[in-house]
Amino acid sequence: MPEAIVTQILHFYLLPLIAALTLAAGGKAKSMYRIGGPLMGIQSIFLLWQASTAGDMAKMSLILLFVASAVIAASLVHAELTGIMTRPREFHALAILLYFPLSAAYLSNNLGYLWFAIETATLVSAGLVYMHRDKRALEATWKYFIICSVGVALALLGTISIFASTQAGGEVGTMSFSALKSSILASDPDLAALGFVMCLVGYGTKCGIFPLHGWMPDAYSESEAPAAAILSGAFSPAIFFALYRVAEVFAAGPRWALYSQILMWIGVATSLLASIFLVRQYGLKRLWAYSSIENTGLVMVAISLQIPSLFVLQCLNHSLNKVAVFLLSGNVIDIIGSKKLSRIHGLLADDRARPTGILLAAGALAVLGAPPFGSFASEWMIFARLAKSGEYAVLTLSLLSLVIAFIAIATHVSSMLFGYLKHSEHRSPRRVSVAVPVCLLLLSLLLGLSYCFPEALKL
Amino acid sequence: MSVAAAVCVVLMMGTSRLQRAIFFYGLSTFLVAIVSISHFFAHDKSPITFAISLLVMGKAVLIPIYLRWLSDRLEVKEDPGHFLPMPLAMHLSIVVLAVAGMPFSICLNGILFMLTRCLAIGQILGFLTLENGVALFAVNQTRQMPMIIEMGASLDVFALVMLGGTFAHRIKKSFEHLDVSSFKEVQD
Repeated sequence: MPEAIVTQILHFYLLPLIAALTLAAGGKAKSMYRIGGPLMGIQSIFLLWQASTAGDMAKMSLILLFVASAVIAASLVHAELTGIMTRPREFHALAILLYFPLSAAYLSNNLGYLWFAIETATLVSAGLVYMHRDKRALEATWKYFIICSVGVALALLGTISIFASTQAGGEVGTMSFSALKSSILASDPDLAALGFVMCLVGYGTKCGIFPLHGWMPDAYSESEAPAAAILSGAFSPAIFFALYRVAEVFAAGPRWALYSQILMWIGVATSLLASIFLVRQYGLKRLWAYSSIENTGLVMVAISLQIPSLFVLQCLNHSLNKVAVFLLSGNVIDIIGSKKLSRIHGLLADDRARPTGILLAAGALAVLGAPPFGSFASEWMIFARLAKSGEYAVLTLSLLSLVIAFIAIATHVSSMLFGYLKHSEHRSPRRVSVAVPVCLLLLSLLLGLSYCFPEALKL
Repeated sequence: MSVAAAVCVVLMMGTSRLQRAIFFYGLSTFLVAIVSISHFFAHDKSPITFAISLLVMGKAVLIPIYLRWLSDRLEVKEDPGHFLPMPLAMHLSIVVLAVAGMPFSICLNGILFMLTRCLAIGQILGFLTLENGVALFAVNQTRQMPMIIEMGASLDVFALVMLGGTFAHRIKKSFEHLDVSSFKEVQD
């Protein structure tokens, strides 16, 4: 099939070649790296096309991989339009390189390969955090590097435990997801329990569940905005996916009632505490980092419900909205010259900052799950499902966390929008582009409308 | 042999001198490699186990050499420690060894080592010890681990040591010390 060959070329040859050339090219070919963003865009369109014809499970992987490639493309194009990155060539190379472990994570049908892919992605992404090359970035990178490496090592312990549990009674043992679902019934229950807990702690460290979230606000706030957008919008969903697949294996086992409760309560604790941290925040990107942690909590609740479409929708909305607000925050920081919330005021009062300000308000509404954005639909469905299954305590606490987050973010954003704008001494000469965030927010809006008014869109 | 590896970790916990801690790490990794090789001869005789044993042996030799070179280069000899005094940390690690049993005590003591050391090299050593515990768990609990996992784990260790070394150089250059426990610029 010709399209299969084209995709294969894109997957295995062209993109690594571009990534390598990005770093190696000199002289006139130095700006060669710029085609990386459009190329990732083409890749994401191919993935969407493939997803439309794939089976159920493959569809889920392909949609999430499409999101990852679209997020990388969006961040690269935005970085080029604004010229915001201090090291654009290295940023392009690392972002394109990160796509490979992510695609391996989504497309592998094996717990071991999945771990290997996440581990490689962690090593690559450490470079993304350290783009700015100053003291603060170094500190944040060191924390990210060490804490996430420990997390990945614990996930390896969990992976080995699950494999060992399937060898009970002299079986050969397996790591393939399709075989694990049936063999988990006959597995050693203690080793399997250890495997579940270690995978939860290990991957949970990487996606920022409470109390293992410490690295996340530091890493997101110290990396440059497009890099933070890739970490939050492309890498975090891959970890959610890993947790989803592990949970999916155990959902067929005898102790699932207990495990789903553990997932649910960790999710609720994470979102509640993150929303409390949102109240007293001093940094713009730290605000969105804590909002990401709050969303991680909701995703954990979605994972415990084990409904694939709900999980994918929540991840999709998380990626679209977070990438939009991170990119817009990059614009704000560039215009004002500071990332401290106490210094950012009056975005609506200035001609140059106004489009960014209006979109930031829309982005904040999208992140908070206000209708008619996509996250409203997914959060509404999660809560409806919780009410249906009688989990009223979880439902109440999740709603409480959303209310706190809404008030906190609305207060911070309105203080940024109104008042008088104080420019930094050195007015940034860079362009302010909002094209990419506009597209992302429109997509989120379209997603929400298709759920809120399905009849209207059918016409 | 596994117990000897765990005892090496306890000894590593008790010393504040970096070179000695690196030596004990190398010794414990070497003992884990011996356990892995003896497992090869006693049980499965699969080429995979043998290849893994060689990899662990490589870790036992190459990583300590690199870390010694790194600590000489960065001119650090002692880790003053933080959070717990060293003798107390060592006693705590003995309690962990008694309570948690074989492979897990190495993992937990690795994490304890990371918590009680303040230099970047100390944190890398703690992580490597944790990884040794995971390797020992794999040898003890499973038969014929898939090769990809072992290769992945080894790649992780080597890449992490190299990257960690690079970051340690940068930390020394920008902060003029290696004390990562004093990192206070970025926090809530």
